[in-house]
Amino acid sequence: MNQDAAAVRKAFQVRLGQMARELGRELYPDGLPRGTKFSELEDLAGALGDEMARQFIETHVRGQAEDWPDDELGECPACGGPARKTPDQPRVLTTTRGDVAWKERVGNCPACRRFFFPSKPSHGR
Amino acid sequence: MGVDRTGYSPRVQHKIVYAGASNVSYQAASQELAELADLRIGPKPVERLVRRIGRERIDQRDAAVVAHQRLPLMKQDAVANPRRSTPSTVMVSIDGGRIQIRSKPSKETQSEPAANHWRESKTAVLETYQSEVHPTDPDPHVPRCFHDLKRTTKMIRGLGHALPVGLDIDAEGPPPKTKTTETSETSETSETRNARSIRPGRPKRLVRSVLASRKCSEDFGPIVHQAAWARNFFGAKQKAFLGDGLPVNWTLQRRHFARFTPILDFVHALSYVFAAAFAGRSLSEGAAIYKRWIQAVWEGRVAAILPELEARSTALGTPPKESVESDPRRLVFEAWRYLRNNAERMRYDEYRRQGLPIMTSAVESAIKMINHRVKGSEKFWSEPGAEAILQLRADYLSETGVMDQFWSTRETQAGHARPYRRAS
Repeated sequence: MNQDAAAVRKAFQVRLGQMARELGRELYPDGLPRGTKFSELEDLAGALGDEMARQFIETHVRGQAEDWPDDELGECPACGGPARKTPDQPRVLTTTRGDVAWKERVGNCPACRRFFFPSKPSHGR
Repeated sequence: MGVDRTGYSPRVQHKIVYAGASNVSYQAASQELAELADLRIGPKPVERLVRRIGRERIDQRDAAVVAHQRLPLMKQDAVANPRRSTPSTVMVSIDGGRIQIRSKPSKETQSEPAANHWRESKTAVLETYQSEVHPTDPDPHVPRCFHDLKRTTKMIRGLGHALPVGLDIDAEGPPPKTKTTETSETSETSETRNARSIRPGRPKRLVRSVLASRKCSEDFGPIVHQAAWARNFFGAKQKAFLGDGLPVNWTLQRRHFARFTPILDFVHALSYVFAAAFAGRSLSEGAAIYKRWIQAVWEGRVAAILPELEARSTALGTPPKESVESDPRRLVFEAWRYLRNNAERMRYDEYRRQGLPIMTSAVESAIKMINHRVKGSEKFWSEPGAEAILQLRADYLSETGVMDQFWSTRETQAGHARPYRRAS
């Protein structure tokens, strides 16, 4: 990955600004109603940002999990024998921006009847 | 991607473990996570993760100790990493804390009172300093705060040291000024008084690391030794080992830190001197003697007051075995014995000249911060739970970035294949 979060934020500042204005126009076509408390605005902005971040994470994790080649299930961690594919398992992870879900490849060793999550090549490496 | 099977992302795990190790309880940690991080995680999952991560840190610590002990003897006390800078002045200080351990009910423990749940924990603080060696003692006069009898009494009570029966500094008002204090006060302007708030020649603390465990002294010593070695402490020019008067501290010092200068905490010495000076004397008489004695101790001239203490002890008589802690005979006798046994570790003038610290306030402060999490009449820990929380609390009090390093390594290593269920 090795992307500096602060540098990415700076690089996308203009585009994110456009998105923020678009969302704002959609939510408040007549402008921010008078009497809106700052904390309400802050909560709303936080929720939008969190959902954006959550979907960003989910999209990438899902994409990587789905791209995992079936022939790279690896070897059984117990006996070292070849693994075979079994139905993907649903997985949910709590992140700082909410829960993200995806389906994960699962390997099965016919010899020792173990199920395991393949690790090589690992996600994101 | 560095995701394990806990169901929490690495960043969420950081927050859970930090909150669990730093708050007064797992319940409070759960509330804080909800309030500050919008994370709805119950106290039990917080506890489970803290114990799991604590266990991982303990395994790392123990593996490092084993690896250190396998080194040739010469290398065990050498510079661990010559590529890293070696501190010029270092200090290791050890003290004990208290924690309640829930013991399994047995025939023996069933009859014991609840107070027997209290067990000892060990805490060590390792600090680096910026200091300089002086041609003479940079601070030959005992700080004014130690002449404040009211404050000193409170401080000694805080240490749990007994004071003479009937000693009531508040009731009797301020003691008459002795000649010495009058002279020093008139010669001091308000400017110099303000300047005194920073003790001349006092070493400046740089980086602190903390260790805490339920292990006994014999097993805790190698842990502290390894931690000091890993921070290149053995290459430092000035090395100090500070402790209170407990013989076990000096055994640890001789076994693991033989090249460190052993120093008795000045405040512990002061508490004995204070109690002995006032034992069986009026406030004014005791105050004058205390000020003279404590100045001598501060100057590293403990040998000068030992004959006086011995003579006073003889005059009062030997304390009977059944005497109470506050018995004047016992206070004087114990002060004499304590100062005599520790005299060689009380050359405070020389330590100040070398730029070494002379008080164990660092380790006592660390114990207070650990106690905030683990100690309480309503808090009972299992042995594994206690060890895990002590390890993590100490890690988070350390300024060496040990937890950042741990999380980073853990994330790199996570995601290895592991069986999650066996076919039926």
